[in-house]
Formats: sequence, structure tokens, C-alpha cells
Amino acid sequence: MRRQLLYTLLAIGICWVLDALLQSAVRGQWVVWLNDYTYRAFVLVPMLFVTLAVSLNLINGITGQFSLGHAGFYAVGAYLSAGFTVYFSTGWLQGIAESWQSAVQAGLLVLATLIGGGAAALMGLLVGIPTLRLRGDYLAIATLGFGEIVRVLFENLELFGAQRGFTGIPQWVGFGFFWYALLMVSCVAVCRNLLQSTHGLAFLAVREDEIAAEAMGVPTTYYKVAAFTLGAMFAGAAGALLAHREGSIYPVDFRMDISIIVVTMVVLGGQGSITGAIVAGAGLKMLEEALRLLPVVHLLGRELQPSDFRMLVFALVLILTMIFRPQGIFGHRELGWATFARLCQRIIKSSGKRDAPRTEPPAG
Amino acid sequence: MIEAVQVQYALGQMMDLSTLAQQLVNGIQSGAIYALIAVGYTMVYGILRMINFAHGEVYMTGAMVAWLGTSQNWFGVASNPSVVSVALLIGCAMVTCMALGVLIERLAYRPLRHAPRLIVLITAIGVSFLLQNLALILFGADPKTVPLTWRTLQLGAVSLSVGQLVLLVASLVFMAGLQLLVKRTQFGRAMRAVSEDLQAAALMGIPYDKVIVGTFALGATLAGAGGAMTAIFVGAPVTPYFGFMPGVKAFVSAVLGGIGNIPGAVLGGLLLGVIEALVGGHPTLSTFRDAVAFLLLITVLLLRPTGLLGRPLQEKV
Repeated sequence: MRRQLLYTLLAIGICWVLDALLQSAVRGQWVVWLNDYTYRAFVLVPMLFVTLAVSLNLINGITGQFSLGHAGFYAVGAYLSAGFTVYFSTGWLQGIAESWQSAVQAGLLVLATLIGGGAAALMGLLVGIPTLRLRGDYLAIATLGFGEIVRVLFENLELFGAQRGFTGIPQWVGFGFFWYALLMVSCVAVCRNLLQSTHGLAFLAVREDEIAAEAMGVPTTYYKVAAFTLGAMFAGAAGALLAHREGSIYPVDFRMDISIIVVTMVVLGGQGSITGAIVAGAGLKMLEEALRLLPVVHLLGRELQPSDFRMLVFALVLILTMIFRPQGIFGHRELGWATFARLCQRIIKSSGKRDAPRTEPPAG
Repeated sequence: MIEAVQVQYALGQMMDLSTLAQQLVNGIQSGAIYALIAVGYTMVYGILRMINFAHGEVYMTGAMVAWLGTSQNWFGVASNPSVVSVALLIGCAMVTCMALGVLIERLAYRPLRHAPRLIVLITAIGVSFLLQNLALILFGADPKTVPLTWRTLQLGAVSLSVGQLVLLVASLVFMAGLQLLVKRTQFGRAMRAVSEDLQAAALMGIPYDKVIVGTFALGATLAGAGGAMTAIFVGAPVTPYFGFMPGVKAFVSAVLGGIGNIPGAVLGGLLLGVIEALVGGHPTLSTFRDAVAFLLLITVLLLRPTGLLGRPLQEKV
């Protein structure tokens, strides 16, 4: 217990130090290419998508329930947390001494993120209980429908600005690295620890063979709904941070494209591999940003921005992965110290073999 | 107080018979389109047990070809529209979509013939997005309308354009033709055999790869006809995202009617079209028009997973 507390404090400390370092690097322009734009595009957004990919991996990869509605949970978290800060919390800040202002803001931000995550989790529970009885393709269509319904709902709710977008959200996240990193680390830590527990085995059992798992006494519906709720919660928290960093959110930010992009990340990384989701999530998002650096193309008399090709790239990555490497880059494996150690050992062994004459007879 | 008045107004409007009749006609018209797309889903699902997500994009391609044809004045469609030129244009859209359907099957689905279903599903989503974004790159995102207008007929309180009428009749003809093809021809018999049991059909000497390509081609042709007719006769604005929602809803219709069952798909499409039109015509519920299909899907799958006309299927362990 004390060790866990230590680790948590350590993580918060590291995030805080890195935040301070990055902030002075960006503000002070230490490096030429690191400015506000590249910081947002190559650091912040990838971190957000890593959180989304790892949380979806819990549903799609680890528990094997193919969900296409992640953008819906992301939207619920963003809108409801923003609704909380805009309509309920600004009054609390009035009459508080200047020196306490930032601490109260941080507290309220944590509260808003919890509300966003909680609302998304509740939504996950409500959607999960009926839909998770469905299997495979049907579940995909039903969750896709849920995501679209959520977007249509926010497009029509005047309370949340309807199609004009929800603006005027206090930008309490500020520079952002600290909060984004904290959420990402906690999401990864929860998934990793869960996988190493008995519950983790139950999740895997549901993925591998639902009927056999049921026969072994694993309450499959319970675990499916649990994975769905937990994944939804982290997506909602990510949405909450997005809302409080950007200051305004629009229904278009939560289109189905987002769900497909996150699914592509999970699939490319290897369904069930947390490190795979991290690598693919960060990599694909950075690749997408790098695409903007390409020159403008003229085709059929129309001027095409390089960013027009981004969804095409995602679609191609998705199809080619499925045809040539359906298990993804990492498969079910994780990239960790053990992998590095094995790799190093192999290198040492092979170089040793070349130097010294082989003494033992070949096996077999 | 205001709320109550509004509710009364809403109910009053629902009771209004002429509005009801008008919405019914509109619903049957959009239902006919859903039916045309849904038969493609249901045939492919019956044989391969996969949802061909890209089917909605084939429908979009049909509409795009129709728009392209009128804007380039193929067969004199735009300058001098006649029955023959419009029919030729629709034919063009159908042929293009047939080629597209065959291409999709060959390049994306055939390499995965023996892969797990989830992998095929993910590929299908990828193909759908690929086609959407290809259309976005080729034609741009601005909505395009086919500049043909149709005379409106007034039948009592119900108004119906000549285009809509032609669309209804043509869909009926296509459906009847499909039914004949499936029930009366050699190819139709092969198709039914493959959907019954692929391995047994293969053992009986049925070239199932050819049957599968043929099924994709047939479904894509009908979806292309549906897309072209929607663009030409209804004048719906065509965008790269034009096909996605109708595609998903057509799938819902196929499930509603019992997936794998062709008359069921037609029935499901018409039902969904009518229900949607009734909800869409209601002043307070109209924003939830798109939600209806998904609620219907979840309800059907939970209460009667085999659909209205489907045979009960047994889960193999």
C-alpha cells in the first residue's frame, strides 16, 4: 500500500517536473521547432489519443467486445464536464482570495474531470447492459449507432450551444502537459494492473471463448459491462480535459471519424497489447500531423491540402494491417523491460557464438 | 402551460390525416431505397456471414455517377432530358457500381476468406472509409444536386412528384427481377445453395468464388441504381458521406426483416422508411429521426434476433 502511494506521488512529481521543463522550453523557445503549435500537435494531442486508444483497448482488445462508439463517450465526458464548470462552478470561484484561486481551480478541474468520466461511465453502463448481449458485428453496429445518437443529441441541445458549439469553457487545464500526462499514466496503470490481477484473467477469458468462460464460472456479462464502463470512463475524462484545454467544443469534434481513428490505433498496435496501443496511438497521431508538412497537390483542377489525405491513410492502414498482419504490430505481447532484456541477451548470445567455437552439440 | 399547448399541437398534427398520408408516401419512397440497399447486405450476409460496411459507399458512388453524368451532360441528360437518357444514366451508375463491388470483393475480402469474422468486419469498415475519402478527394465535400426537376402530382391531400413515382415503380421492378433471378435461374439456385452451406455447395461442384463475386456484383448494382435514382428523382444533395447513414439503416432493415432473407429485407426497408417518416414528421420528435433505426435494431436483436421473416438459427458451440 505504501509502495503504491509512493509510486503515485512519484508519477505526479515526474509529470509536474516535465510540465515545468516543457513549459519553459516552449515559452523560452529553446529549440527552433518546438513552439505552441508543434507542442500541441506532437505532444498534447498524441497523449490524448494514447489515452483513448488504451481505454478502447480495454474494451476491444482485452475483453474482445468490438465497440465503434468511443467518440460517443468522449463527447459525453467533454460536454457534461464543461456543462458543470460553465453552469455550476464559476460561482464558487467568486469571493475567493487571489492566492487561493489556482488551487481551487485545480480542485474544480479534478472534480469536472471526475464528473465527465463518471457521466461517461454511467452512459457506458446504460448502453452496455442491453448491447453487450449482442455479439461481434451486431455490437459494432449498435455502438456505432450510440455514438451517432450522442452527437446528434448534442447538435440539438441548445443548453450546450447546439451546432454553434459550446464556447466559453474556462481553460483551467492551461499549458496542459501535467493533466494530460497524469490521465494517460493513470489510464495505462489501471489497465496494466487490472491485467495482472485475477479480474484481468477473466477479461481475457471472455475474449478467448465466451462460452467456455461462462462454463468455468466467469460471469461474462459482468466483466463485459465492467470493461465497457471502465473504458468509457477514461474516454470521458479525456473529453473533459479536451474541453477545459480548448475552451470550446463542437459536435464535429466527436464525429465517427474519431471512433474509427481510435479503432485503427488499437488494431494496428495489436488488440490486447497496452504498449501496442500506446505506440500506435502516438505514432499514428504524429504521422497525421506530419502529413500536413507535405506540399499542396493539384488534382482534377482542385487544390488538395495534404490534410485531406489523413483519413485515407487511416483507412489504408486499417485494411493493410488486417490483410497482412491481423494481430497488429505487437500481437498480444507487451513491450517492456523483459522484451529489452531478451533482445539484449539474444544479441550478446549471437555475438558470443561468432567469437567462440561452438562446444555443445546442436540440439535435436 | 406552453408545454401542454405544444404537446396538444404535436398530437393534433399527428392526427391530421392528410399529413399522415403524406408522411406515409414519403416513408414508402425512402423505404424503397432502403430496401434496394438492404437486399445487397442480406445477400452478402447470407453467404459470407459478414456485414459489408462498404455497401453504403457503393450507393454513394451510384449517386455521384448520376451527378457527374448530368453535370457533364452525358447522353444529353441535362440539356434534353428524356426517358432514354435518364435510363441510360442510371444504367451507367449501375455498371460502375457493379465494377466497384467486384473490385472490393477481389481486393479486400477475398484475401480474408478464411479469416475470423471480426477481422473481416474491421476490413469492411476500412474499405468504407477508404471509399468515402477517395470520393472526398475526387469530388470535394460540397453538396451536389442533380439539376433535374419533376412535375408534382396532387392526389387529394398528398403531393407526389413524377420522379418519386418512377422511383417507386422502378424499385418494384428491380425487386421483382431479383426475386425471379434468385428463384428461377441457375445462378440463383447456386446462390441459395452457397448460402445454405458453403462447404457442401463446394463439394457439389458449385464454383463458390464465382457465386460470391456474382452476389457482390448483384448487390452493388442494385445499390448503385438506388443511389442514382435518389440523386436524380428525389434531388437529394450528394456528398462523400451521403451513403454512410442510409447504408447503416439499410443494414438495420435487413436485420429487421431477418438477415439472409430477401423478401424480409424489402419488408424491413419499407417498415423502417415508414417509421422514420412518421417520427420525422412529428414536430417534437423529428430531431431523433436518426436514433429510431438504432433503437429498432437493439429492440429487434434483443427480442427477436432472427427478424420478422427469419428462420431460427442455432448457436453452434
